Amino acid sequence: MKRLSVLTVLLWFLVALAAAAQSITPPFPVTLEKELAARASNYTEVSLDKKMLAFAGKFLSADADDVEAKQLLATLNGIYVREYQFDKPGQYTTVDLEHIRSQFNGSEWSPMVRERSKKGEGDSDIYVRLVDGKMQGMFVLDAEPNDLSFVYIDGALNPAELSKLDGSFGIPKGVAKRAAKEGSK
Amino acid sequence: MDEHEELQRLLHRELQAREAPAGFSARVMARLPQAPPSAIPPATQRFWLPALRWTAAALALVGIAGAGYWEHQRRERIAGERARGQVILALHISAATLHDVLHKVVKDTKGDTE
Repeated sequence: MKRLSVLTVLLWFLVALAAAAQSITPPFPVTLEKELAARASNYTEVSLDKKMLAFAGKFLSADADDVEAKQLLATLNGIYVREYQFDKPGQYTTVDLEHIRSQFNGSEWSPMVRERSKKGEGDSDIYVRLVDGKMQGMFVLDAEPNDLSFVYIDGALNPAELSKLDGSFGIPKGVAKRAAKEGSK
Repeated sequence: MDEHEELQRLLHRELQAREAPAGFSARVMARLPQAPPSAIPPATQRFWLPALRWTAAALALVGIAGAGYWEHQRRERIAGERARGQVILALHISAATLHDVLHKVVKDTKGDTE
């Protein structure tokens, strides 16, 4: 009996550990990230988990842009951004892109936008994670011959919230509106 | 010369060691001032000296704690500003990526319909 309770506690601990690990790890293939970073002439990697978002939220000012961002961040569990710039085309392959996309093939993920080019150097994807009909995450992949960007936003993302970003942080007006429209379809 | 010898003899006789008269030591000791004051401070000093010491120690501790807190706050502010910058950068890249993808879609859709 005692042995069983110890096993139960251990199991719960492992489940909690796995849940914690899942919540803080961006679902990007780590090895590929390193390879892309090595090939890139310039790259940006931003990983912000819920804790970091909450911490950063404290330092957002009271102006309109920051207040909207703060409201948006409050519902998110993380934002993970990767942007690679290459000196010449051909620094990544369709296999690399498939490897990235394969992380979002789960049952909860639905492709919203899928654009394909012959060499994979003009591919675009938007995947959304829907749980009980609500958007709980978004993954955006944008491949250009000399650029590769992918963004994973984890958390309750109300498409209407995206409109709040319109005109803020250098985001062109109308972008969020279109994204919201696409997301609510 | 005789005078000189006479002076020498006189000095020799007068400067000869001789026994102190009886009771001399007692009289000398009686004339000496009283014993020096005790090393024990008065009651008021006994109260204030430790209090001053403790106050100084407490002030030093408060000072150290205050400096530590200030430094912690300063570091947290720097880290927070950095995190804020990262959030803005992440939102900027996210929106720009989303914009690029939607722009491509709109462009391709237009191309298809034309």
